[in-house]
This record gives sequence, C-alpha cells and structure tokens, in this order.
Amino acid sequence: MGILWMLVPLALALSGIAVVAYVWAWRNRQFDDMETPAYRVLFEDGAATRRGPRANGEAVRGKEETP
Amino acid sequence: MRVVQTLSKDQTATVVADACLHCGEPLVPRQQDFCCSGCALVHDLIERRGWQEYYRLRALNQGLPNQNKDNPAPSFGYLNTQSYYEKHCRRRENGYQGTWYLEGLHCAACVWLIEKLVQNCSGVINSELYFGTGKLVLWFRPDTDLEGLANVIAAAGYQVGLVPQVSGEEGRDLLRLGVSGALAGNIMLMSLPFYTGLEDGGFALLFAWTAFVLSLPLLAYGAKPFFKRAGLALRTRCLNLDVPIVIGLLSAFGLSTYSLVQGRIGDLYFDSMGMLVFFLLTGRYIQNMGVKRALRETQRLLAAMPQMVLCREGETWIEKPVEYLKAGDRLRFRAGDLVPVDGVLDSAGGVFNLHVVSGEAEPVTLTRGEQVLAGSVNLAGLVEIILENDAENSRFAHFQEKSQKLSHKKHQDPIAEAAARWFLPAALTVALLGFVLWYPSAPTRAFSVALTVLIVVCPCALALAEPTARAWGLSRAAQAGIWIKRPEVFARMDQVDEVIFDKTGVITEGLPKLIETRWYMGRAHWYKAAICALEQAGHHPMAQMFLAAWQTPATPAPTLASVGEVQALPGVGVRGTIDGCDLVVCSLAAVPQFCRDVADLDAVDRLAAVLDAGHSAVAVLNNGRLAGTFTLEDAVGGEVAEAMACLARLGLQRTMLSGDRQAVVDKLTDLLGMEQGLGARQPEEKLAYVAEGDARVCLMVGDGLNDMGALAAADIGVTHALGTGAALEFADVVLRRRDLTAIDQLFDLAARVKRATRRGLTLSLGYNLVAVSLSLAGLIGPLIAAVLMPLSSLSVIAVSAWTLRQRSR
Repeated sequence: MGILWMLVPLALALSGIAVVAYVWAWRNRQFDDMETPAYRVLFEDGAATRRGPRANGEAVRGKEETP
Repeated sequence: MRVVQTLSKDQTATVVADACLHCGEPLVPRQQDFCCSGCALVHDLIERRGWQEYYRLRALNQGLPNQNKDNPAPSFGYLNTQSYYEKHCRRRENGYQGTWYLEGLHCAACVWLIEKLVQNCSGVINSELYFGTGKLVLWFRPDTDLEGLANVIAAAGYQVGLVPQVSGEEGRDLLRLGVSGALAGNIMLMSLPFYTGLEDGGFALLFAWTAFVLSLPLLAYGAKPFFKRAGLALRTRCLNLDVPIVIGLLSAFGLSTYSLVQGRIGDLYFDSMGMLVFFLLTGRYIQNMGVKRALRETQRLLAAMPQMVLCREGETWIEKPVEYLKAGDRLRFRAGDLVPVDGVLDSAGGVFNLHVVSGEAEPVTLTRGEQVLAGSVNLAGLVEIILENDAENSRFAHFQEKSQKLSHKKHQDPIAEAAARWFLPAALTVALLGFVLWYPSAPTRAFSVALTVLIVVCPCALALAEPTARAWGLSRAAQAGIWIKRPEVFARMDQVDEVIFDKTGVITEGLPKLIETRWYMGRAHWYKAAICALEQAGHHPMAQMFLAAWQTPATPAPTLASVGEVQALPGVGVRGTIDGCDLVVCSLAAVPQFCRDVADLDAVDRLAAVLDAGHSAVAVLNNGRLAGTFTLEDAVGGEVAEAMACLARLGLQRTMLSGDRQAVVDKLTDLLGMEQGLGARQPEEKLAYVAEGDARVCLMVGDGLNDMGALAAADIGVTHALGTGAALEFADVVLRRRDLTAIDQLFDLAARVKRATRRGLTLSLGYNLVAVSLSLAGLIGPLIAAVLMPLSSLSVIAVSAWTLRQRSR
C-alpha cells in the first residue's frame, strides 16, 4: 500500500495538467465559438489552417480584456 | 422595398414580392422568381415531391422578420466617421477593433463568402466571424473604407448592424466552473476512503490533508462570486441567498480544518463544500446561458446602423451622424426617412406617420412652422426641418434618460429575498438551539453540533431549486419564441394583476387592411396593378397594404404599358398617369376636388354614411370618374381575441393604453371585452399610469417609442421582435412574433416554474428538517450527512425537471 504515497501526488499532477490544458484552451478562446470552426474545415482554400484563433494574431485573453 | 412577411397558419409560403421564391433574397432586376439557378433547382425538387410543407414550416419557425426598422435602406456612411471609432470601437495597435452584427448567415457558404469579402478589403488587418452569434470582429487601420465593405456585404444579402453599446461581460463563468469541477472532483476522490471506513493512520492523514490543500483554491477562486455578492448584500444591509451559502461554506471549512488540526479525521466536510460550490456554479451557469441567449437575440434585433442625416453646411448638403447635430441646423429627409430629432417643419407641408411616437395609426399632415417629433416617419416627398435644440437635448433624449433610470432600479428577486430572509435566521436559531441544548452535558460537543447543523442546513438544495427551474423555463420559453432577459420575471408573473396593452402594433397590426372593395368601371385586374404601381412610386403609406392584398404569387400582375410621372399629394393621396389614364388615389373626403360627376359623388356620400368608426375609405378616380372604393380597417390580429379570453380566465384586468383617439380605443375595448380603455395618452402619461400604485403589479405590452417609459416602469415589460429599438431595449421579455397568445404561454410557463421551484424547496426543506433533527439529537454521523447532501441536490434537480415536463392542466 506504500505505493499510495506516490500514486496520490501522481494523480494530482495528472489532474493538474488537465486543469492547465483547460485554462489554456479557455484563454485562447477555444470555447467562444463552437460552430464556425466546424464549417471552416469545409473550405478548400486553406482558410481553416490560417484562421485558427491563435494564428490570426488575436490577443490571448488577458485579465480584463474582453472582445 | 419592404419585405412583407405573413405568418398566418394557412399561408403556404412567405409572401415576398421581388424576392427569390426559395431563399427569400431580394431579386435584382432581370431576375425572375429565383436569385440563382441553385435555388431554382431546389425549389423545383421540393415542388415535384410535393413538399411545400417545407416552406410553410420555414415561415412558421424562422419567422424572424428580416427587416424591422422603419429605415428601409441603411446607409453605412457612419462607419467612416470619427464618431464610429470613438463610440463603437476599441483601440488596438495600428488601428481599431469593432464588432458588426450580421443577419442572414445560413451555412458554411455564408461564412466563406463573408470572410472572402473581408479579406479583399484593404486596410482590414484581421477579422473573425462567429457563426453562432452572427458577430463579425474587425481589426482595421483608421483609413479603411468600412462603408464600402459594409455595402458589399449588404449587397451580398446580409444585413449589417451595430449594437448600441458594447457589452463588457464575457464568460469567466466557464473557466471558474471547469476549474471548480476539477477541484471538487479530486476532493471527492480524496474523501472516498473515509466513506468506506478508513479512520486512522498515515493514509487517512494523507487524504485529509490533500483534500484540505485542494479546498483552499476552491474556496478562494471557485467560491469568489458568492463571497462577493454576499459582501455586497451585507454592505447594503439586505439579505440574499449568498449570505447563507457563504455561512455554510465557511462553517464547513472552519470545522473541517479545526478537526484536522486536532487530528480528528471523522469531522471532515471538504467534500460537501466542494460539491456545494460546484453544483451552485453549474446551476447559475445554466441559468445565465438562458438569459444570455435572450440578450443575444435582442441585441441582434437592436443591431442597426446609426442614422446619418442630410444636413446643410454652407451651400451643400452633407451627411452627419445624429449626435453631431446642433440647434439651428437645417436637415433634409426623403420619403420613408425616420426623423431622429425634434424640429420645426420648414417645407410647405408634410405627411408624417407618428405611429412609433404617439401610437396614432393614421398619418398626420403638418404645415410650415409646426413641430415634428423625433421618431416620426416622413411619408411623402422631400421635407426640410430646422433643429430647435441640440440633438441630445430633445424631448426624446430626456424621456429616454428617464426610462433608463427607471429600468435600472427594477426590483430584486422576490423568492430569493424571501427565502434568504426566513432561511438565515431560522438556520442560526436552530444552530444556537443545538449549542444551548448540548452545552450543559458536553461543552466540546456542543460547538461541533452547532456547526454540523449549519452545514446540514446548507442551502445547497435550496439555492439550486430555483436556478434549475428557471433554466428549464428559459429554455422552454426560447423554444416557444419568447426571449426572457431577466429570469426574475418568472417569480413576478403570478403576482400580476393588470395587463396593459398598447394599441397600434400590439392589438392592431398598425397597417390598415383592406376589408371591402367595390369596382365601378370593371377592369379590376388592371386597376389593381395600376394602383400598386402608383402607390409604390409615390411612397404612399397605403402602398404596403395594397401590395399585401393584391400581389400574391398566385395572381401575377398584368404588365403595364407605361407608368408616367407620379405626384404625391401630401395629406390627400397620389396622382399619376398610367397607360394614358389620369389616376388619382385619395381619401373619400378629397374626392370632390377631382370629380364633378353627381352620380359618383352620390355613391361616395352613401359609402361615407355607412362607414363604421375606426374604418376609413379610399377611392380611385380615372379621368375624374369614380373607378373604385376601398374600405380599410386597422385590423385586429387574429389571435388577439383568444389571448384576451385566456387572460380573462386568469382573472386579470386588461387595460388598453393608447395614444390614439378615445373613440377608436373604446370601440376596440368593447369588441375585445377589455375592462378599461384609455386613449389619447402622451408617452409621459403612459409612464405615469403604469408607475402609479406600489402594490399593483402590472405587465405592459408595447412596441413603440411612446411605450419606452411604460415598459421600463412596468414590473414586467413585454415587446415583440417588430418593436422599435427603444422598446426592445427596455422590455424584459421579447416575443419573436407578434402573437399575443405567447403571453398566455408565458403565464403558463411561469406557473410551472413556480410549481417546480416550490416542489424543490419543499423537498429540500423537508430533507433539511429531518437531517437537522437527527444531527441535533446527535444521531447522524458526518459521513451520512456528506453522502446525503449531494443526493438531496440531485433529487431537487430531478423533481424540477419532472415538474416542468408535465403537461399543463
């Protein structure tokens, strides 16, 4: 059972990674628009790759900055 | 031209003149029936399979009118002014960032097209289109030709608008919810060993301390909104539900930490605390989503271009934004333009529709020197108006300010208030009771019993019951085409004892309807086409009515050989030469001016004699002889009587409050069996009537500028999607269609939400009572309490969902 001393911090670290990933996604506005990206995939002129929220130079969501 | 959309149930398709039969886009000249071959193909496929139902359903479901403003052709000149940069944009490096609202996005092709159009506009640094909300965010250099861009997008068939003020609120809720969920879940995990009987030893300490560490950020970050609101409530010396929540949270955390430090593993409540925070955040998030949706829909309707006004500067006329106008400016308005400021008429004469200003359905003729009120629509010819005051000093601006103040101090939430008022003292009393009862026998135990009581009575279920019920109610309402901007509406609905209706645009359709036609010289088919052409060319207010009555896809109009010069006769009618005939369309009273024939005049007199109050009549003359007469009525919507009957069954007083003549109001109130009819009321008088009496709770339905104050002052203000911008802004509820039966639906829905809330509250109170008595007696262990708590929350959610799903009686 001594393994628990290692497993518990490990589990916490893993969920910590998940939380960090979630915060990252939120700050990059991944949840702002759940519909349009699904349509952009259909464009054949490569717009999808260029227009990701990151690629288009849109500022990362800061403390009080709102769109 | 204005798109005429009819939403009656028997209509098979949306009747749109000059629009594609399939997609409804306006046609350009030389196109017939369809805007493109694709639409023609699809239409053909649908027709051949006999699926016309599609068009009917589409008309019913998406009946959002494309054009609801009195300004038919928006000009985008405003976008290239400094005023736009300052008022609607945010500064960014190299330029500005602004948001437009686009109406008419349907599919991927629309997204593609608009992004292409924007990319081709030089000066735009970057852009992003949000399909779901119709938002187009533009980042551009100051010298960009935005007017041109907007024109191109509008030409592609989308409507471009700005939202009055940029709303600053953006969802941090989602972030908080997600992080709190992760923390609460992990705390739960750490508590699991205790449920299964772990009591002592190193592992117990490991789990307990981990839970403690995890609950620190949960309390500091996840529960921050509750602390904030509770603090606010205490500072303003009133109670809300957040106060007991915070007391519950703090006592749970305090007791658990105390036990932990003392080394007693048994009394840990970190898990309950975590679940409480997570459930509460979830409940509020869902409720906010419903409200946000309503706000978004209203914003879309409000999206419009600020009007530019033609203003005399030196020798030329230039376009200026309204807020830059100064007293003494000379302004020019074309037929169909909305006059956005108060001024004095400086033309020989003019005809104005005051429908949105005063509620009067019939156009008013003004002469030189008379006052033109902001909100009037110029109906005939070019008029010039001299501004009396600066734009921000007009009577309209003052009235708007007053309304804004009123709507800001709208009431708090009655149920939450009452619950908090009773709940907190009761919980504290019981906790104190426990302490007093236990103190003599076991002083150390007394403290922990008191705290246990506070935790068990934790208002988790209580605070969840209402948001859940409301979130359901909001989504149900949205499905039925009712957008609710303030969820407190549900709590106030059953206290309503008077329903007040505006007349024009709410009870009646605002546009007169043709109820009787007589032809004296035959050739009805030709006359119909000729009159439509004449009315359209003359920008006559009756044009829409004739078009709606006569130009259906089923009966294509005969082509006219020639349409000569058309002249608008202010206050009288229209005159013009069509196919060589001199035609005049005028009111009955004006017939003697154009006609000398005794028999014809006799016929006119006879018709005038049998005309009902509230009806009016128009005649058409061909070369001085009477060719036809038309009786008009400002029609009452079909479902109004039904809606009134339902409200009567609910025992509500129904009042009509209108700016129109008392005689017209009386007739309608008699017809509909309403209890009270008040006519000839000024906007200020309307406001005063609604605001009077503190005990009375009233629901106001209105759509005009003149209803703005009344809507703001009413306990519940209701408008519909066709209402003016001001009405949309101040109303609490927006109906997607002008269908008064939606108000009955709203009452029914509110009753159900209330029932669900009450059941949820009863359940959680009952649970709390049992749990409290058991824990007072010392019978309930913390373990069982911890398991019971989330269970009670879940059962509350289940009960409200079940209640709302039930069919109404």
